[in-house]
Amino acid sequence: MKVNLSDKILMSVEKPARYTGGEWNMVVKDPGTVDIRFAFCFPDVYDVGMSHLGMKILYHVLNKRDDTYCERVFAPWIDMEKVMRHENIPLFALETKDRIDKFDFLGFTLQYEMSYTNVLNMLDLAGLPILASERDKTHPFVIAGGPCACNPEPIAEFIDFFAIGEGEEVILEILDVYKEWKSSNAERQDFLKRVAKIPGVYVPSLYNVSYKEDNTISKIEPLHPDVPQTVDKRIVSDLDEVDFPEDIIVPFIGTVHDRIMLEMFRGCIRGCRFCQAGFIYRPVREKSPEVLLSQAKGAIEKTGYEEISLLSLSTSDYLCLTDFTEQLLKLTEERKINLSLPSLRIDNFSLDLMEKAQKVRKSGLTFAPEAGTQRLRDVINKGITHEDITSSMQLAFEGGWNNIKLYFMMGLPTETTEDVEGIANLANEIVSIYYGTPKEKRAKGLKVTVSAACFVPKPFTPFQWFGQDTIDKFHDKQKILKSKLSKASRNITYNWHDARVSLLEAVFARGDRRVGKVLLKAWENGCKFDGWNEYFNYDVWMKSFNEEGIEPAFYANRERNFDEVLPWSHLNMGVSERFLQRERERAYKGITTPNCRVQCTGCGSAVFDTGICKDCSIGGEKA
Amino acid sequence: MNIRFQFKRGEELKFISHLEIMRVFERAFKRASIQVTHSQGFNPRPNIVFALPMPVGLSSDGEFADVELEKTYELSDFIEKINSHLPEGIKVVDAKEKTTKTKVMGIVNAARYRIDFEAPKNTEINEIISNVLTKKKIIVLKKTKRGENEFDIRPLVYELSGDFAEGTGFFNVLLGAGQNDNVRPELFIEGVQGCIDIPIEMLKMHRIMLYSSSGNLWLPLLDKRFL
Repeated sequence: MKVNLSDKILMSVEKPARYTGGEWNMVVKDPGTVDIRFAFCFPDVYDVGMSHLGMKILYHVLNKRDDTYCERVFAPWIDMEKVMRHENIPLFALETKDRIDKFDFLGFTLQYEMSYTNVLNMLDLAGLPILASERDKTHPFVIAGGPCACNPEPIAEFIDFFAIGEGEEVILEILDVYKEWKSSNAERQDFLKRVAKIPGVYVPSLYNVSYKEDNTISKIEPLHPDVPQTVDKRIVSDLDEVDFPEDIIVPFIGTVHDRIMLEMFRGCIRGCRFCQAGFIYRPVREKSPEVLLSQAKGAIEKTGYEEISLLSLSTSDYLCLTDFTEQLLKLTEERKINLSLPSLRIDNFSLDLMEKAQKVRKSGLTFAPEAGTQRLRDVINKGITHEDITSSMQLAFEGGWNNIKLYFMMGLPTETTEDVEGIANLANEIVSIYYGTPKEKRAKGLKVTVSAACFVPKPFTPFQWFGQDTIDKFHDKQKILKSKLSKASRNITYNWHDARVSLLEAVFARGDRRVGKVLLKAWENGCKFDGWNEYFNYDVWMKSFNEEGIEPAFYANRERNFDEVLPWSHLNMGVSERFLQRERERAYKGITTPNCRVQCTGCGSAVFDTGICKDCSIGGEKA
Repeated sequence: MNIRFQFKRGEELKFISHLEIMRVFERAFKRASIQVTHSQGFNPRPNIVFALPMPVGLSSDGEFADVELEKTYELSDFIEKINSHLPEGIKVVDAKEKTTKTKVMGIVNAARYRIDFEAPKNTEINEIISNVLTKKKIIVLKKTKRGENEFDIRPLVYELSGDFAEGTGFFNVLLGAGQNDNVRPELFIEGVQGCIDIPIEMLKMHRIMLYSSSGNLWLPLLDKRFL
């Protein structure tokens, strides 16, 4: 059933094209001819959601099936939601404008903890019961995946089941089981039991969590004998073989990443100890240059985009980077297409490459030392030395770059005042490197931006046991850095993050099922779009914690022991707990760990027997 | 080769801005492998220029643009090629080769609109029309970069007719358009509202055609006199 979006409604909201669809490459099907209607839900506004590659991949994979129609759903912006609630317009899919409460599936992608209230809000706007336990046979199944699904417990009460790991294969298996179930006319519960047998599927209602007196978890156990004790993540074994969309939707309105994204590889060899992505996407699996070039060409021809961007966790680590970029540049230059090159290590090769890729003026150079002292960089296994930083800055200034963005984190394990001050010292040193560069070589007007985020410990990292700094501690550290930087050069700008948001991220990144109550309460109290500064309301959040009798510090600031049952301990992302413990111990001793190409660390990902782990002679321990 | 083409945009695409329409064409030309020449300089831009910006919410049958191409095309091929790469709701309906140097946005000076509106059931359309046409001045506030300025639109209302029944009606109006003295439909409605006591609310705006004057004639921009 179509919703009625009158001109009057559309003319009354900001960017009405967020709600009208019809973009180039949008998939059009007759809903009457498919068995499964799937609403891919992104819990943020269109402009953000349309920048997300995962959605483009799954949209493509699902719509390749003749029996399925996948449509897109985004969170309506505040102004549109107001109109929708006032006019009784339920949440609808962009392709057909049909309301989604009679679809077969609502699939949410969980990219960021602060989008959880939007998930609840979208369920409500769709007209669905918010709690999974209250849905019946007339309702769609609400499923979720994405990086935050590696600790799904905080939203376990709202989601029927999760897909753990990479989604493009498991989703097809889920649909096959669904079709069988649908034709068998069995109960809703029956489908959940069937789907729980698919590797990578986690059905939270089939597990019981019990707690100790000290509020930590005592046990997480399956409720039925045929439900797996642990759920293993799914990965795609061969990225050359897996379907990758070339005919991606080209939005009319500008989006955050309004360009072709070419995924070069998944995983990262580096093993930075703070970085969740570096652990949960293991092992490193590269696409071959031939496949990448053909996909680049295909996407350019099918979209008409004027820009293409390489996507990976660390572009410089791609094995055939030199040859590949040379050929890619040929392709883009011929067609007057911009090539954007994120996450490159700064060296002669990359500076030269950036110079070639960016015909236009030199844009800013981004660099992430993450910590201010070498000691702390070793703790987090950043894998760069002080010398690396100074020499790459020297090269950058000599190459005419003069706008440098530096990214740091505060509150990393073992951090001292000296480390915080080290951030300012490093920024100052970079300024003096600029002034030490001969005038005829350097560009006029130096701008150094120092951004310091508040560290949020994440599951499946060596720091998953770490107690986050309190808000007060963050504020103290921010003050130290601010005063140090204000005495420094006028060329330096300092940006800091709202520590209060980071506290909430920490709660929901490592929370258990009980924090779901707070989430529900906060949403009832009006929280949504918490990732947007203008809508984040800390006081309402604290009130909601209070009302539910839950202490955020228990989840955010408490240091865990190795023997604690963590809320995600029944999920297996491929890295073993023993490996993470080993890494954490090395971290606290300041011992670095070599990257996966230099030496296998036995993280456990060898069980996947693919990518960089394929021919690993050490093999590592099987998780 | 220089081409001037006429295109229309339907209901489906009327909620995107002028800037976005420009990008729709740039990308469609890329997809269609029709090579557009680019401007020189630091930030080369494809040489496509549009007759008049389209406000958000406007549908149109009579839009025009000039494009400079690297190669020569049969006009019918050009139309077919670009249309197969334009999204639903936007369509090139005619194209002619252009040999003069004049740019399309420099010659527009009138636009015909159909503006649908809502008003009380007993509204007399002829009264409104004569009310508007007998006024010497119709002052509206026009937003400019420096603030709001008083603007007399009466000399720029060239023709006005309309119809009304059962609470809704429409104006068919020829208004001044172009780089100077542009009267957007919203401004016209604001002006009409100033002339009458009953409340009217705009429902839809549709551009029927853009014109340029030649002698005492209003001619569509693809007229051979302008090419």
